[in-house]
Amino acid sequence: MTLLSRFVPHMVVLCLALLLPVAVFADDWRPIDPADMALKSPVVEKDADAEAIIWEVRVADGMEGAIPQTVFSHYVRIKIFTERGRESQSKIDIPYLSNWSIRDIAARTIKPDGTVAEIRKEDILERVIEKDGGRKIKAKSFAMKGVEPGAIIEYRWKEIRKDRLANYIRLDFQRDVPTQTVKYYLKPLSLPGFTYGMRAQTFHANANPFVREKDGYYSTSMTNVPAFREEPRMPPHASIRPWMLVFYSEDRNLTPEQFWKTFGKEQFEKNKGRMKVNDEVKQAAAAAIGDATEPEQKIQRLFEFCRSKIKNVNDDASGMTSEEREKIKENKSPSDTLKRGMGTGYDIDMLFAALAIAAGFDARIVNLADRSDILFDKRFPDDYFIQTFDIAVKVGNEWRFYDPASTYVPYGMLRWQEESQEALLSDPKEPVWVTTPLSTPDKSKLKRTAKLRLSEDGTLEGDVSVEYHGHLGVEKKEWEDEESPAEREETLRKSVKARLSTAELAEIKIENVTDPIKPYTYKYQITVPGYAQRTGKRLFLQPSFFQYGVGPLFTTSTRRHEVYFNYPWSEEDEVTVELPEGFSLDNAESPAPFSAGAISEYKPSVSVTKDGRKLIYKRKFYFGGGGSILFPVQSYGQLKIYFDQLHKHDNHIITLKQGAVTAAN
Amino acid sequence: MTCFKLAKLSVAFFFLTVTSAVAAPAEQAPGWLQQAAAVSVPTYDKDTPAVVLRKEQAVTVASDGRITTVTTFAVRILTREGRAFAQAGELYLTQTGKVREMTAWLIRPNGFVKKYGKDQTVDRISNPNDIYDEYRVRVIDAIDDADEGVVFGYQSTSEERPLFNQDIWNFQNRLPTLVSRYTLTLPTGWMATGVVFNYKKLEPTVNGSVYTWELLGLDPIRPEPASPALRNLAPMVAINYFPAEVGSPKAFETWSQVSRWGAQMYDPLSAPDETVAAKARTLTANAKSELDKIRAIARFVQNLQYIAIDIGVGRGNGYKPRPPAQVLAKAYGDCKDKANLMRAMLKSIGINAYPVFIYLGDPTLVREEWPSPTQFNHCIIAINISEETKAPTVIQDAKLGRLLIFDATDPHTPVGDLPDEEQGSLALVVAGDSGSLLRMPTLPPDSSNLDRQTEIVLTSDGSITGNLKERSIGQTAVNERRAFRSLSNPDYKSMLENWVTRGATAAKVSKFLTNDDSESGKFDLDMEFSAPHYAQDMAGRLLVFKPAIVSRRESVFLTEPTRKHPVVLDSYAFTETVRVKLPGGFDVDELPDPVKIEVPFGSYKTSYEVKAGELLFTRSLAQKAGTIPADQYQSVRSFYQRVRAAEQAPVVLARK
Repeated sequence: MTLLSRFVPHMVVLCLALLLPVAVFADDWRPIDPADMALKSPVVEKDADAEAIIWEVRVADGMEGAIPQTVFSHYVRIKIFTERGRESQSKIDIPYLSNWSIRDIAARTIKPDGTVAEIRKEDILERVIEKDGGRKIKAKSFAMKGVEPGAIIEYRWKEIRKDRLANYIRLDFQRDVPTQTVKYYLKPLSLPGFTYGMRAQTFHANANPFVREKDGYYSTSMTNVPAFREEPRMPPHASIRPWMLVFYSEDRNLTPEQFWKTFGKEQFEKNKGRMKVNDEVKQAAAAAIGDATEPEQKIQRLFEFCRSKIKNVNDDASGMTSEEREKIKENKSPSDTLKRGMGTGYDIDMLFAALAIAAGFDARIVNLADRSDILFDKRFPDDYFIQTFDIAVKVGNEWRFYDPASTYVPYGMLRWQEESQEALLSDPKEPVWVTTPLSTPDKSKLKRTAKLRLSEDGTLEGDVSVEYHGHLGVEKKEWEDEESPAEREETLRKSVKARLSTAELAEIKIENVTDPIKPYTYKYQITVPGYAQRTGKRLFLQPSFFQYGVGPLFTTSTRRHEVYFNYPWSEEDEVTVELPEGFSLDNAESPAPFSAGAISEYKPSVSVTKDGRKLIYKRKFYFGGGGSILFPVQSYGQLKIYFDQLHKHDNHIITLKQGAVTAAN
Repeated sequence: MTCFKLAKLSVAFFFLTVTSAVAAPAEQAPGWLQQAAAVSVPTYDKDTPAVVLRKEQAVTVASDGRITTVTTFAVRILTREGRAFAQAGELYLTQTGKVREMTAWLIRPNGFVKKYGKDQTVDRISNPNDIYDEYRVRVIDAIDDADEGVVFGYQSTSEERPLFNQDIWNFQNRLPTLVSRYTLTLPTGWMATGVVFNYKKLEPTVNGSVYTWELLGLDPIRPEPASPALRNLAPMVAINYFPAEVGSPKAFETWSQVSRWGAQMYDPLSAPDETVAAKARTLTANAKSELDKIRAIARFVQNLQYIAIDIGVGRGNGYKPRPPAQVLAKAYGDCKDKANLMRAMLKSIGINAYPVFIYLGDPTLVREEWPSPTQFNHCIIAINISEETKAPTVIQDAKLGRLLIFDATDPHTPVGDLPDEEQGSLALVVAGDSGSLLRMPTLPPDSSNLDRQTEIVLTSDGSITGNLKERSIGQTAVNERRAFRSLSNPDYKSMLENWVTRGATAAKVSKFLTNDDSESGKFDLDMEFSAPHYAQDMAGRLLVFKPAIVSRRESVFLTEPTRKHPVVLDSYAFTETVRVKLPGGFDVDELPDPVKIEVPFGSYKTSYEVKAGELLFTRSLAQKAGTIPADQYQSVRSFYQRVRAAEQAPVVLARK
């Protein structure tokens, strides 16, 4: 798979030589540019309802006595263009935690005629949003006065976060409104003996290079940043929004290669004790492997042992009560996990590694990123993103990847979030980057069959079976494993009625919901009055029963962001329809197959039994072949055409006529 | 496998909060909860999530009017989804009330008891969307600990100085309830009266100054689409309490009393100062008629931003508007602020008006039998008008004369119209001794209509290009206007594309134009669009298509075969004419049969005609607002099923 990389390998280290007093805002507001007052339409996006002229944040780390703190000083100036802009920008909420403080709030509206309405102290309301025990979430709130289209609003405040520094904080360059200039000032902590340097790494941002400012600040900025808008099937936010990660690390002057080498060695040392093999582990491995002789077979048995015999206490569907969880003791070794028959996800993965080692395999921990958070790039030399892990086992000359702690993920697959990821294979000497495989479309299959009878009034009834395999099954199981049988039935009824509103379901069987191995399965009887449309002499039938009532995937003609599918998948349908007495096929033309190279293929077929009484519709579809799950925005038009064509063909209708007989094409 | 990142730096000031779970010793549930848990529960439908074993409130009134309320609640969880009911919640007002104590227990089927006290209690604001709101709620959440078979119960004690000597007790929510009891203990010499709703007659048992209303064995109230509000289904009692000899101004016996109470709050604040009067003069400078003046002021007030800041609610400020000059200066306010500002502005130009208390959301909820301001949640305005002014929202009152009803908070509904959810509602015109509960106007169905004219060119490959013109009036126009105004231009276009695409795959909107004439209550949409292969080509012999292209009814909302409660329908009407220019070389082979359905609650009609190479398809739907009894459910369900079937019916063209 090729994931587009928008990462710019340029990290700035901010060092402070002098310790100077923290700069504060000037007492007065900054002068308003008459051109901004006169502005009649937005600069950045022509249809914007409001536009930030300035959005500036100063982030200063320092010490308050012996306590560290970060002071955020915010300054926002927004031009209002429409009533919608007024509605969305006039109410300001500043949430904060009880050990933080908000100070120096000031806000004002400059009306189009130049008059100014300033917020007074009594207009600022403090609310405790929530409190429990010693924790409080508070907010300071106020409403801007006299806001109208043409006005400029501006507000500023200071947020003091005690007991912490600006370490691993994400700073956005993009807001809910377009922004003419967004600027960050960063001031690192300077303390004798403090050997960590503040670093800033931008992502997907063409930010200006850092500039040294007065009072110990460094600044960077972006101009003309459009507003962020959600779109369906888009990559994770961290991979499309411009943002900056600010963190501290020791100035070891390591290249990415050097950093990862060191980190990979540390990981090996840190985890090797947790993979320790003793006699109990050896015995357990031998018992689990049993008569298996082939390496792959042995691994699979160890994997299934860990997945099905060791309870994952982190799993929300483990069935444990809160009291039982409170009593859980920490496992310190694989044999502890074996003895107790339960453990955390980490314990289970470590036990699996130990069992594999006991069986004579080389097994390691691999560290990798979560693809639902960010599309990782190893040129960023920090472990911030690679917080997930799996077990790599060498089978023959190949490293294979396993995660028995993810209960529902089939053998040979990883959670989709961990597939197709660069993973650091730990090693005492030479850690290396390997890539986890992306499962092919056939691994995540939706397999559906329906044996149906059509009445002459258009009612369709019969038996339906649906199986969810691979990632599709994992998602279904994770979603429903905590639900009651009645709730699962209701979920099914709702999903069927959402596309076939007149449908009635009976004899519902939902199987393998919590089974780690067998596919999640629905079986039910269905009756759908008015499924086929009757005219005077014809019946019109959509043979793709499972696609009836499903809307097109993409509906808008334009797109801002790349299109991202979480994983490849496939669908395989077989629908048999017994035709009503007195009717036969007038036209049983099959919709045409089509494909998009190796990425996708659609193969429908319509046939008729020899006696002409049964229509057999088969449909095969897959998407994401060749690892293609991320598409640039320029491809949206083609992608939309492809899925529109799919929708069109799925809505293909065949005609039944009283009397006439026609063979299928 | 995922894990959390640990603090990378071990320096002392990298703050790490650790919440350690400490195993609690085994607890014991109080006797009342053990008794409730021991009760055998009737068999309910398998999808009944939980059954309330005991729902009780004991209210003790002190002679100074303070009340202490002890709430006792126990529920047995029957299904996994029923876990959501393992939660305790008590609402209070920060300035005049407090929750003194709150404790909950969870009893597992094996008898294990878990207790929840102060450390497990969360105190949060009731409505996070308001800039400021004094309502808070104290919550104990045992959802994560609960499962099928557990019994959850809690007891809380609250203190309050209520604004009124009135209270409401809802005997149940949607869950079946075995025991529901409200006990009121009054000071010596006081008495209580109650009005019971949604239930046959129910008298309290009275023991000295202790009044008890109790119901046992209440069935579940299942949610059903288009059902009356729960408040119109679940039994409830509305209570007044007061010293028997002298009565109480805080327990209203008549609507006039409520009107006087409201007027003493509003009237002193309705006087316009010079800034308000000057603004009114400016706004009405070019207005020629009384209606023009009202419209000019209405337009200004309804366009002020709606922002609610409720301070001092427990002392009555939730009912009290801010001074009009203040609202004018800030350019925002809530419903009462806007109604009052408008009243002041009108007063300054010689037009009298009154605030109107109303319930926004369901016009059937306000009950005449129980005069109380607590029945309302919104404030609009009634304007005294002369005979010169004509408008559909005028009502006649014997004491106050002609009143033009207007909602100054709704930015989309102009003078002469009224939001759907207020039409036909009982509302209190606050006019001192002359005030009364009046029925708000209901506009005729044809005052809210959508007319759509669509012209389509169909080509021989099934593709279409179309031109659509929609003309909406009244509340239908309000809905269109709301969507249009809430979305940016690109988002509105996306919304249109979504809409068209639902009926015609791969449709593209090439152009659209709107005309939002809120003054006259109209909204126009003109749109050009195209869709490839809309009609299906059948082996080159036939072309099949559905002539209802947009807003085609694909589904029915009344899907269940049976029903327990009435069906509530809103007023709605549309007419559509679709002209399809047929491709050369094709004849019409089959047309769907025309449909004509007339039922007491509405009508639906379609027609098809082919003339000079053009198909003319018309459809019209009129739905009357009303409540249809449950025993007529099948006729309502059948009506919409037939409408759906008619809109799915295809036209068949055959190649010549």
